Amino acid sequence: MRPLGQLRRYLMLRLLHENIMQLGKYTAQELDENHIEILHIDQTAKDFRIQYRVNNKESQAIFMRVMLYSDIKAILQTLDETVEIPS
Amino acid sequence: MIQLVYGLVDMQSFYASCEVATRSEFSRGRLQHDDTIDPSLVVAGDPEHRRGIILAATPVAKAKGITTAMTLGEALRLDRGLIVVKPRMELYLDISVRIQQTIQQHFPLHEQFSVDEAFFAFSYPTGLFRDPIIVSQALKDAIWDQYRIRCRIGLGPNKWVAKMANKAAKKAANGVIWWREEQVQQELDGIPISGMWGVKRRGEILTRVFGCKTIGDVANISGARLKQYFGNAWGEILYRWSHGIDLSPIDPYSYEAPNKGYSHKTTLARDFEERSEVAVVLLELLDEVCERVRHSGQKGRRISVGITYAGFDGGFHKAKTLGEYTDDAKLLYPVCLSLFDCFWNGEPVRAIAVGLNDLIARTEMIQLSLFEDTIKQNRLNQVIDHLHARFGEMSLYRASSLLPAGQRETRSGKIGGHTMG
Repeated sequence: MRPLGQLRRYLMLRLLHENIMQLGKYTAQELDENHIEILHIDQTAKDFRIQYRVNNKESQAIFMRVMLYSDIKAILQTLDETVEIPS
Repeated sequence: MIQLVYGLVDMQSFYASCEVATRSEFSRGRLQHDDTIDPSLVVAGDPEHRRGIILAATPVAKAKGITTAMTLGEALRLDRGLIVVKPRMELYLDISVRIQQTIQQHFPLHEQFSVDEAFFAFSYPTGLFRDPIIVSQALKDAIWDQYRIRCRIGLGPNKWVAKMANKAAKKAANGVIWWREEQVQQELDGIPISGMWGVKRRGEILTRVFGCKTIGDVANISGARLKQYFGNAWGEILYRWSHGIDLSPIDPYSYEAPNKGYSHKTTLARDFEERSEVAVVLLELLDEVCERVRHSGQKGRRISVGITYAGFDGGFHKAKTLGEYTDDAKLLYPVCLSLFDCFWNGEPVRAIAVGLNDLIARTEMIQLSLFEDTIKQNRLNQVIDHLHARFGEMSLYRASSLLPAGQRETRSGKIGGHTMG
């Protein structure tokens, strides 16, 4: 990749980081508004086990990393295609 | 009156769904209620060599006429753009274990039925389970939200009816069907015999001998007549099922019950024509079987050998019961060989199976022998098992496995005969 391509990529990632921080805050607010409270998250090499409370009702759920990564990778692939400048 | 409602939840095209849900090229933009936007994908034995059989296919691939157990060649002829992936059994089992936990979180009275199916039951009507459809839908949604896998649920007054309702749920828009006790007979009456779950070849007999076309036709046969033909046990079962009756309870510990037998089968990459080649594989399979029997704390005395001839055409499955229980391959191997020698007609062999059943719990008592140092052999087996558990199956193996006929290395990378991934 050419230097300007690399700089462009760097700036995009910085902006993305800022956006993600904002999105994180927004999502936390949304959880609050919908009375969803995360009580505990257990992380293992393969999954997240999350204990939560919705409207005073406690529950738990399992999210596997392999599926979450798959979604994230799909998003990053789009980013990669956007910032890629052929040398 | 409060009663138990039984459910059967079944994942849609499980192995194929796991692949779609975990591959970034397909995972984005999928919808819970629309499987037509998923890729046309199959999980098959050997994509590189375009061989093997279809283990699972997405609904899109199925819509093109592709079915499980079809050869990959046939499937590719039906869909040139078909995406073919290798099985990743370890991943499927990881996902399966977690989905079962999720089902159990929703319905504590739960019984795993297979890698992608589970029975559950709940009391209705109660404060916790006000509406069977809504609580089942909640489970469906949870499985989608957490794993991106679709499922369908059948509900009924017992396990067998739940299984039958589950089949019907395939056609329901929301994937959940509840057959209430009073409607069961009416629902069953019109179902063809081929759709009567669990009867296997008895279905053909019901059609051929009794002229039955539907479950309703079976329900019209008296219990005494069914017993006369199928014997007391199966006659009673057929009578009950045809009337929507099943007394079997939910067994949360069904997977923890001691096995009644252990067996291993391998399909060879080529036909074996020499006895010496088959003998190598028999010993390898026997070693695996004996190790599992020892691990379960059991011993067995009925040893079986199964052979499938080239082209998967014919073969035999023969067993011999020994005078004493054992878990030692060294003692069982000569019996395996003699079974093979006795029944092999000299045709090339394509698949080999070895089993040990009629099991009992192992005690500390050892049957001493005049000719063998049994205590030493037991200790040797223990050390081998320990090494395998700690360092893997390939840490120690027989030199015969290095012969061209040896399957051990290939098999060590597989679960249930398919690649681990």
